[in-house]
Amino acid sequence: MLSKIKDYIIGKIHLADEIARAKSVDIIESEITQLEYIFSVLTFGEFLGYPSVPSQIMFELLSESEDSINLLLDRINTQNEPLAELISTFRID
Amino acid sequence: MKSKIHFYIGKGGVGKSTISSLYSVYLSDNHKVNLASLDSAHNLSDIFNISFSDRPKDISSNLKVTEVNIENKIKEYLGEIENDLAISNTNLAAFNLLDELNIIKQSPGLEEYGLLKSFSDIIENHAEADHLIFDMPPTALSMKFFSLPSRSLLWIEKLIDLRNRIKEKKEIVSTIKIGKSEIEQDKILKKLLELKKQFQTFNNLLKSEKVEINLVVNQDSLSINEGRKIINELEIIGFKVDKIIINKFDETQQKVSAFEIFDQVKIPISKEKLIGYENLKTFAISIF
Ligand SMILES: Nc1ncnc2c1ncn2[C@@H]1O[C@H](COP(=O)(O)OP(=O)(O)OP(=O)(O)O)[C@@H](O)[C@H]1O
Ligand SMILES: [Mg+2]
Repeated sequence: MLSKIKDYIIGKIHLADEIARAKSVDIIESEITQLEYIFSVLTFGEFLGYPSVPSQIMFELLSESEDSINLLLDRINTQNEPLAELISTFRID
Repeated sequence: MKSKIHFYIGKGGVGKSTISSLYSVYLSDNHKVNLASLDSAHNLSDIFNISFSDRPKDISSNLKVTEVNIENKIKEYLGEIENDLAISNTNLAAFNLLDELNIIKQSPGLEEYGLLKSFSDIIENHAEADHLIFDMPPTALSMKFFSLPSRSLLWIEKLIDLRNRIKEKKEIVSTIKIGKSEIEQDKILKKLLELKKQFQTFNNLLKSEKVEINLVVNQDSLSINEGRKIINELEIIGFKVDKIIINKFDETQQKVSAFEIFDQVKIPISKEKLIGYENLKTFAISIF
């Protein structure tokens, strides 16, 4: 009887742990996406007419940055206010 | 690198090209010298009465002269990037990014980067020279040239911070998910660290004992005022002027009261036209 209760409780703890892990992973992953986005605007904002890093640095990074640029292009396609989001992200962060 | 590096800066028309030519001819008597113009409105060709290009030309057994082509340098550099992109990023090519590059050729920052690249080429290709002498472009661009490494480093540090934050978070996610932090290498971070090293090397070299910055002025208030500004701006970014050259010096004219704390060299007005190697040599021997 006692051991059944113990199993039950341990089971619950495992479940809670798994949920917590999944949640924190979600949060951190969305933070990563935001940071990646900030990085891409800082580096390649020039393409959107935003102030960004000096061109020489942008050019040097270009060939390693397919993901960053794709992220930027995706955002432009899905929303009209990339800068607004950038600023609000900075505030939250 | 054993070469000593001399820069000649100052207001337009004060005699930067003439003085750097005279000094090069003088030094080449018993040292290996490479004189290079980094000013795209070159006038070394007029002074030596010989046409120059970005291939060094022998003037005497010890003296080579180069006029760098900044515009070509920038084109060459963007061409390399286009190639890298075409090879590594099929997707980017599809987004017409390469077309954008044509517009970006005008982009601010690239001119001084072209300058820095040309400068770096010369240092690499002429490491055997005892003296590398640089006739510099107009003041604004020269200042951007000197500040480029430190300005770039500020940004690079920021970007490195950001990439490190991303990396840390990725490691946390990986630890939660699979119990250990296994993430793939961050290519951008790697590139940023390389760039940091490069710019630090430039910065250290430019601020080292190997470098001598010569400010050329005349006895008129315009060139003196610009000279003062140059000294101040350079100081802000951590450079000091080593020598003031008062060119076209005339004793009967008003004394130059600025720059007392600096080493000064006075160069008189030449009676002969300062054109051609022989004339330069005769005058150089009489003044240095
Ligand atoms: N000591 C001198 N005696 C006589 N003439 C001189 C002397 N120094 C320079 N000149 C003359 O002054 C003019 C301008 O000199 P120079 O072209 O060297 O200046 P610069 O600073 O290189 O000009 P720029 O900013 O246009 O490149 C030239 O005609 C040159 O021959
Ligand atoms: Mg000149």
